[in-house]
Amino acid sequence: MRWKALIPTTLILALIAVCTVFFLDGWVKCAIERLGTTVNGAKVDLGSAQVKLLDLSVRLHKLQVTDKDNPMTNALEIESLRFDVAGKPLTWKKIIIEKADIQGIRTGTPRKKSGALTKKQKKTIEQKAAKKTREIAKKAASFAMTNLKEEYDPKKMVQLENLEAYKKTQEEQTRLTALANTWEKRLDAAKTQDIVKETESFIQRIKNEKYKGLEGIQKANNTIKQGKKLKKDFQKAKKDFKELTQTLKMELKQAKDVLKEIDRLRRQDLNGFLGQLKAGFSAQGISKGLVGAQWFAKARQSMHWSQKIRDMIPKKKEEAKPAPPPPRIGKNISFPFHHHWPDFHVKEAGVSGSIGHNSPLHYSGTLTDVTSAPKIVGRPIVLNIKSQKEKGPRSLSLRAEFDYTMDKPREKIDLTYQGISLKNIVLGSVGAPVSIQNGQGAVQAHLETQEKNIKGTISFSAAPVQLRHAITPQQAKDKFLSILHDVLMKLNKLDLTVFVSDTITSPNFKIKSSLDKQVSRAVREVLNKELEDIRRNLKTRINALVNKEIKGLTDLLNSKTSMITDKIQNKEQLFKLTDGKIQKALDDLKEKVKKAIPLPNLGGNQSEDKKPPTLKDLKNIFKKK
Amino acid sequence: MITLWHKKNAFNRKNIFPTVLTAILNYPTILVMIIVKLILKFIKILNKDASPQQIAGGMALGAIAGITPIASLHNLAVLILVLMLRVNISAAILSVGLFKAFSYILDPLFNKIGYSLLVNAGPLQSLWTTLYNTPIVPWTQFNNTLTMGSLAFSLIVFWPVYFVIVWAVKKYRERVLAMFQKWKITHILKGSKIYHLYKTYS
Repeated sequence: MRWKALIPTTLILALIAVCTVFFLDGWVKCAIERLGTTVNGAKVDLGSAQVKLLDLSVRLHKLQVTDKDNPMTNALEIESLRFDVAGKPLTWKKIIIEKADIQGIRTGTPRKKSGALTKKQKKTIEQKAAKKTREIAKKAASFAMTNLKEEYDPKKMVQLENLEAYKKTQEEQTRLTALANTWEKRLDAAKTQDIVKETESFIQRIKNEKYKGLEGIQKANNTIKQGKKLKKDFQKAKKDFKELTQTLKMELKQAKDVLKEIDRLRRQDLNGFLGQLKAGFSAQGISKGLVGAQWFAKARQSMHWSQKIRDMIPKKKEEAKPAPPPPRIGKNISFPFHHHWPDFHVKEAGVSGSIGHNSPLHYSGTLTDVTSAPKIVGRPIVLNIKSQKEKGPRSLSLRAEFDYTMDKPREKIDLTYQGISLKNIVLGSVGAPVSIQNGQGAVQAHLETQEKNIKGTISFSAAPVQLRHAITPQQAKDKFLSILHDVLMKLNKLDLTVFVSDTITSPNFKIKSSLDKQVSRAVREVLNKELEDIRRNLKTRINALVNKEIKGLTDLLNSKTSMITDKIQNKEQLFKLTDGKIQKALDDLKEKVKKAIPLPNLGGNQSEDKKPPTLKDLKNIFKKK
Repeated sequence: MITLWHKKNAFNRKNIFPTVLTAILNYPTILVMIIVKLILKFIKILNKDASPQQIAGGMALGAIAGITPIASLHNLAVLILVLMLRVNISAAILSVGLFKAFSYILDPLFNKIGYSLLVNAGPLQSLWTTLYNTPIVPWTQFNNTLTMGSLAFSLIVFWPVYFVIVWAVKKYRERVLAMFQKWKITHILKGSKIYHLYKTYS
């Protein structure tokens, strides 16, 4: 033991403590800036930080969070933050903030220096922003219409590879050719000619045959047997052929049904293209083009933030078999704790700030129960903000509740904001860019989420409003655009309601706008005519592409089916004729035999038994003798 | 260069820590100089200045700080021990650096050990719960798998490290150092200006 080192050691430790106190503010400032910059993706600056160990409070001044898409602007600026930390829980490493005060919250304030991280990162951010803008513009363009006839040019829209009817025709031509060959083969495989020839030769043979004496009887008997066998074979061949004919006829009928199917596909193709027109070429489409894309982008962004908050809250249950701890960091294991303190808890924070730069709207309110473990606290996070004047031309009221105390997270937002300056707000593009020249607006929103589901409405109304629609003289010649321009210029009121539904990750937005009615009323006539023209052109284009193919297929089908039908008919005729001949030949043979061979009296009463001998008698004649 | 840097960053009480840190990181020469100085000092004490037990004690204590996360409260106790016990401080500082690199590779193993001790070791649960409910103790981060695992590992290897180093220093002085001193080149170097400069510098 170095007892002599006791004093120097104490001095060193004291020096460490003094240094810690001395540099603590710098460390805190540095830590907040570094952590904030990492999370934000752009610079986070802090004017100063003061940590007072005696009264356990932290004061931060001039916190600036750069808007990473616009590095010369602060997404958020807070004038001062003060946190009073509770001492007792701190000894257990629990940060409980009894009272906090956040003052001077402002958004969109200009920065003196760029908040971009580095040139390389700035470039990446700008590229991302440009990409985002392009996407929005593209979306708006698809909703609206820039140049109708060009956009809906049937030659561009309708391509052979997009036509189902054309594809089917091509397939069927190949299939039918192959099928017709198999029909022919199957028909040829039925040996009709052979059996007919055999029958003919048999008939010819028995015509010339003569029967005399006992040999004659024997011969006649054999011939009859042959005749019967032949007749049996013939009947079998006839039956087989009949079955084959029935199958072929059914297949021919099916082949003809293909034409009906192709016709149906042609109608389906036309309807498909017309459906595309309906989506983008309507008055609703124009409204969506003007305001939809922007709303979608903003709403999606807010959903994204909601998801971020949820991710920050610890998951609902400890898994039965937890995942292995992350290397380099490890995992903190919790044990039963006799105090009901979460790791972090802001009990109550007073917030105040302002919106707008020229004539700011001041607001104040409270933020309560922000915590890392909402289940321990048992209360939801509540943000309550109200403007100094609750009613009037300019007012704000916001109540947001983030409830993570249950297994299913729930959020609820009620917002009323009146007197929003809409000056120079850029809307979408309808032939030319549309922006708001002057106007005042109001937003009323009610949104509710439960687990993954979201529902609610966001109503926006602007009155009075004056739009700017900068069309070129060239564009002014376009009848449709000039009418639309008049409508937009005369517009002095704009109501918009966005219905949000489905899930947070993929919300469904339905927009209902007063603009729809106004625009549709004004442009219906022009629009309908244009639509009708495009419909007609589309139909002509589809028909021109498909009809030739269908005609080819129909010809092929007709030629093949008629050939097969002819063949079937010929063969059927042949069977019919031969069938009569064979029966007649057998009858003739019997008659001939009866006449040629005198039958003996077989012991029966002659007078009573005068009937001619039957074939049975003839057969048994040898047995009796 | 340093003067220029000083001019650029005028003294500010609140900014001194990050600026000093940035300066060290930006000018690696300073860092290299510190390390070289430390190694030279260690060679000196290894050769004759300190006893093997003092060197081994310093290295074993330094191993605790090196293996466990440096910003832990228990390392304050290690620091006090290093200062108060008759152990070699240079050896302890060098040991921290050496074992830090070594511990980086073994982090997954420390995590597993820590997890087993904190979660799977049933009889220890009451001890952990008591510690968790005791003021100040949670600041030691004992409930972190990495801290607990590495601390347990460093305590297990404390005595083996101590004895191995005592043995190694003795062997070094008996064989390697004696062998070096017999070499002609050592005599030539000892007579050279560089050696004199080294002696003066150290």
